[in-house]
Amino acid sequence: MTMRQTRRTARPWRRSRSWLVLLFTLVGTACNNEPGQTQPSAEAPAVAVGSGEPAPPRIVSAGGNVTEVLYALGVGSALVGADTTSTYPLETAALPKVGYLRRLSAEGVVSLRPTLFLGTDDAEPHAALDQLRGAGIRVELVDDAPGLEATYARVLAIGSIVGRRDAAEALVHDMRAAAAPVLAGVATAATRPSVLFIYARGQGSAQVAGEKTAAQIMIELAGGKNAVSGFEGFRPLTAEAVVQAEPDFYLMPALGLQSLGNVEGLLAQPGIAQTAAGRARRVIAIEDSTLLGFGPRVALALRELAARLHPELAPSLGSAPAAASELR
Amino acid sequence: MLELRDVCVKVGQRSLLSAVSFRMAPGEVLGVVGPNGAGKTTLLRVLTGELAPRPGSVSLGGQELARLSVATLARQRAYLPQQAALDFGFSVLEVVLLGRTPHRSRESQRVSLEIATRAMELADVTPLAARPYLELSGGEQQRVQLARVLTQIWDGAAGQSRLLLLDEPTASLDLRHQHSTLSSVRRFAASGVTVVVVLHDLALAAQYADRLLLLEAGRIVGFGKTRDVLTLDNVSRTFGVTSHHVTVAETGLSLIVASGPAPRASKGDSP
Amino acid sequence: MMEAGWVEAPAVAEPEPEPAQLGPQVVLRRQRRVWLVLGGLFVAMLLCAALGLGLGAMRIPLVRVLEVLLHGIGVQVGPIGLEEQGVVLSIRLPRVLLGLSVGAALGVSGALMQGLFRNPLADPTLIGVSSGAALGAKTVIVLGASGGWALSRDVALPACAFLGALVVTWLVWGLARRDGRTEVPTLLLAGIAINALAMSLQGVLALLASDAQLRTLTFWTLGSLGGATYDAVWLSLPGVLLVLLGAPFLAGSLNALLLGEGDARCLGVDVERLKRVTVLLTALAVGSAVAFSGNVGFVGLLAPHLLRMAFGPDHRLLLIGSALLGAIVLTLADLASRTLLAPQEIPLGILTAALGAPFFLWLLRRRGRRGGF
Repeated sequence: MTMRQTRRTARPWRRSRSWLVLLFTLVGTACNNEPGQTQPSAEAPAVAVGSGEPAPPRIVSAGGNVTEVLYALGVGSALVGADTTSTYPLETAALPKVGYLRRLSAEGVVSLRPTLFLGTDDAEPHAALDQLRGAGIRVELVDDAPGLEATYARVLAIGSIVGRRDAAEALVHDMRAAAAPVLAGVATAATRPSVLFIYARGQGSAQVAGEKTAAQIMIELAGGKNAVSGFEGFRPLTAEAVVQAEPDFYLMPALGLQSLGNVEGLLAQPGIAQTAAGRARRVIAIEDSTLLGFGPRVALALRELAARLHPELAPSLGSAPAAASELR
Repeated sequence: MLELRDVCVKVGQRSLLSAVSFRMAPGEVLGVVGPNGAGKTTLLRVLTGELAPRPGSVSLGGQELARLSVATLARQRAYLPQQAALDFGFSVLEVVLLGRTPHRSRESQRVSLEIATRAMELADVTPLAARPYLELSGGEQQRVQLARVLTQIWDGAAGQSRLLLLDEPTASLDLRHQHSTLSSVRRFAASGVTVVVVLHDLALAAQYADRLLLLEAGRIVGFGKTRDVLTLDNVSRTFGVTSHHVTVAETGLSLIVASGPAPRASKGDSP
Repeated sequence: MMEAGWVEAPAVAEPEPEPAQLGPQVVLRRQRRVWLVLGGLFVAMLLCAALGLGLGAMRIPLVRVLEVLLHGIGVQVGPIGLEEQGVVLSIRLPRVLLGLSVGAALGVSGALMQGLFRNPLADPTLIGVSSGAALGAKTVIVLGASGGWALSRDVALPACAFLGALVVTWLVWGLARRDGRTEVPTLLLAGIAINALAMSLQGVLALLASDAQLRTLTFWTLGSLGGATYDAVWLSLPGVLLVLLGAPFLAGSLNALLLGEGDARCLGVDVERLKRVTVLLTALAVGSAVAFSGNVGFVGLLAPHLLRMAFGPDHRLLLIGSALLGAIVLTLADLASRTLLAPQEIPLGILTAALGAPFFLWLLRRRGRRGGF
């Protein structure tokens, strides 16, 4: 009986001993790390200094439009990481990702050894941002408000932060120039067609945009009006709402329309096929971040949208960009 | 001293026990016998304190069971149920030590272990002490449970009455252990414990109990010495069997055996 | 045995020769074993904490970690890089501490639930704690944004999650009670019913959520220690410590409960009170933990199971041992979540599920050998 008892107590000991050995090995590995191994893996190219402000050599950005502005300002090569909402331009695919905009990984950001963290003000968790500051990283947040003036202000702010104020001002100038004919044109439009903006991510999740949404602002800038009103934010799509709205056009982000199964899929949504616009297939699809991002390409989206809403004005809205094919 | 006065237990309209009264002195073993549904298990449940008799009273050592606190009662009364449901990998020793739960705040582990050791010897499970409980046979497990209940009331403060309740403790035991267990129970009783044991085997009851209680449909048919209770008449009528006296020549041991179910019509007659 | 020479009277009056196998050595061995195992687990936990501080997206050698820690309590040991200090003290230390707290809470709650239900497959979700916390948190995520909440979301979310956990558990308990008694099967059924209700409410919230909120809901459900701050640590610790201090007092009663409720009652255990206290401690521990980490599953199932398989079902070892082992498992899982796909983080719940599911498959295959647990 003693033999049994000692054997029974010995077995778990042997097991826990091997776990301890494993742990000690791991700890030893950590101990044996040379300090040199914690150096940054990539050398960051120096960025030309402008306006006498210090040039940040390594940037992590959060927010698709912020990232896009950084590339537009020519500092894209200083980017060492971005969040998962940064999908334009294509170069972003090669960047290490530090998590979703609202679920950033503080340690992930720090491990890229940035000198600047630049994001929109809805970057979260706030604790992570504090931790970045605690690690000696400069944290700057820009307002994410929609609207043209807000966008121009944002571009200028970003330009100041990264020491590219001149480039920012030039970009804003170009953006204004691109938007001006559109705004002038729609001001003369005879009609204000009603547009229903639908957001969807796959079947069964369709929502419509109400007031105080980026979608409504874009629609109004393009000389249209929101087909629904009386609520803020998004609401689930229902047949009654759609039929009551009886919009002249449907507007969707391109990927969202694709997730529904393109126009056929959209027509299968409740109420759509009962409307005139649905039967006539008056569906406008514009690339997601161009339409809603309020970034450097906002004028492209405006032009495209205005041209669809007011076909008669199309010739006068400015040169059709060769990049129109980008919008699909 | 265990005393029952006019204990009645009713469930809805059905009366499980009616007018049950008897008295047992410490050191005595009471065998409770009777057909299925006679109220034997109900009686045990009244004695454990789980069922409150309405009306009637049960008192142990002069104190009513209902007035004793749960903790005090646990130190004086132990109950071995018919089925033990343990599905966890304790060793036999650990199971037996569980019997000291009501005492654990007052004694050291060493004392608990000593008591458990002695109880295991009495229940004849010492060689099994280190084995996993779940690996034992049904009979071995039953003996381990017996050791546990013995452990629970192994000692008592001076003057404190102790009560041991056993519900068919020999059910899964082999012949040898049926006898050795009841013999151990008798020896345990001799240390001043009142024992009430429900048995279905009349021969065992006759051999090991000081007194018998014969129940039928909740009522006492007979209470007292074996030869007064286990008469041919009582047995035939209560159990509905054709019964006979058998005497063992060498020892003079007298037993009642049944040769078959009594014919329906003559259930009331003696053969 | 039953030979001649056996004393007729039971061996109470006179001392008997002790059998050689059982004796003082066994007592000492048993006592020592509990402390040795717990001590070993404690040391292992500290080692895992050290690993958690040193490893991750950035590797910091253990020596530097110790230097930073000493620096943090005011002992100057040498030059400390601001970055390393930031990583260890601001990011990793609160995270590791929160992980230990959450892991311990989940571990001890799992052990308590398995003791209460007398079933090794039980875990805190059965009594509605997790779905209550989820409901509280999701309400804040979806409705808190638009409403006029005085508190900032960083405070409101954990607070509502904790409240949700307690309220839903209280509902389940109340449903299962009848005539002052709570039958365990009824508790189980009430838990199933309330969990279903909570799920449907969470579905309604998901319907109302915007895209961004939906993503946040998903992340919360998957669990993460990413939001760990010192505030979170100090807020979650009291509840957890209270439970860790109180649980060992239940050990003897829970052991007796394994014999069955009737037998436990005969042994003097106040079974109803035991159930009440167990449920309360579980709600407190899990509520405190999950409020800050989101739903993390399987730890409450894994830790007690592993310990039971190695050391048996004695709750004196199992309760605190599960807490320690839970802390170890969670810290290691969090380490993996920060390291495997660096610089991104894998949500914690995914990793614990990835660990837990194969473990259970293995357990199912092994079970037949001994029977029971």
